[in-house]
Amino acid sequence: MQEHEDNLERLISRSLDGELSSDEQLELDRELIRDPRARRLMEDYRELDARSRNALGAMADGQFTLRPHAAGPLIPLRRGWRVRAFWLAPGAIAAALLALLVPRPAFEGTPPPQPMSYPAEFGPLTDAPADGMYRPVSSTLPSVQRATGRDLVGVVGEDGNVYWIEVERTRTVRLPHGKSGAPANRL
Amino acid sequence: MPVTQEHDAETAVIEAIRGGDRYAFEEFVRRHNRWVRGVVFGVLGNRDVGDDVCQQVWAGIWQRIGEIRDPASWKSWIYRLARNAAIDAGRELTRRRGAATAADLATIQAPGEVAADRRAARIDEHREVLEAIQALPAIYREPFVLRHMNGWSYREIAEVMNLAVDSVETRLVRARRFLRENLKGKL
Repeated sequence: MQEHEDNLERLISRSLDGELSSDEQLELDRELIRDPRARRLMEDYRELDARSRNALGAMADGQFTLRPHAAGPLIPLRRGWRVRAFWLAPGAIAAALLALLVPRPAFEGTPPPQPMSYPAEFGPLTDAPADGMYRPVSSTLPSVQRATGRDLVGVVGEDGNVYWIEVERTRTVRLPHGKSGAPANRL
Repeated sequence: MPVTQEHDAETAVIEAIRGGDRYAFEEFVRRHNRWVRGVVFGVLGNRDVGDDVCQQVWAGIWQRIGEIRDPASWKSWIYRLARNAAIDAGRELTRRRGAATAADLATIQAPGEVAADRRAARIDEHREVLEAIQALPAIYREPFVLRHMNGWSYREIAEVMNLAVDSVETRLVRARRFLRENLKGKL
């Protein structure tokens, strides 16, 4: 008798979970036709399943948002290597300090000025050199010089922005060592 | 066919996350948070700390995803992380304040726009059922929640829980029997 009850429960459970074979489905149908208790059990379990799904679904659909993790994120890498974010902190601080120390362009938030030619006239750098060209500052002097392979100087333009200027004649006006103020051939 | 092969579409996402793609990770969380919550609730039987545990689980996944040897086995891997986190949280909870409660079930939001009284009645229904599910022994509650919250098949549940399919079936039959007894007169 108990074995029959257990089998009936198993068939109903499998039926509700969509796991019945066709033979088992026939067996369950026969039981449901023959036995009113089987029908009641089936109805109870069907309602139980529906209510469980609804309750669990309502719980699962509660709000859930990603929050910052107190321990600090790790940067996932392949092959199981991991780097803790705080190792990156000294580098980030150094970069921030460098950014504060290096003169920054004033055009942040506004469109950068377009490159323009400057009158070809030799003179002080603040008036811009001959054959020079204004360019907006995007990096520090050494890195720009390395990138361009040219001699550069930074000057403040008429609009208040800082520009790197390509200077083609820089070396031609350099004075001999130990001298100042006048070309060597005048000494 | 192993359950993991059904989710091969996600292996590309896993690879992206392993490469540090945070957007891929956030999308992945959106897709899979529901069943992770199901695992946590199934093990813990407590919604009070469910969100916190889920946070820990997802933070752990982000941190440790580089440890997955076979991206195709991501589902089992995440299941184990979620389950272990829930077990740890359960131990901590038991140590701190004893038996779990369902005190915050009143915060469940019924789907859709429904009248306040109807919503209150529905919340009461949900509370009864969830309390009954919480009262299940953990070995029955876990597969029951995976089945009813996530709609997983016996085979899927067996694979992530590392059980035989027959064992899953037996546990589901017993879970239903327990629940029917506990909700007698309310079905």
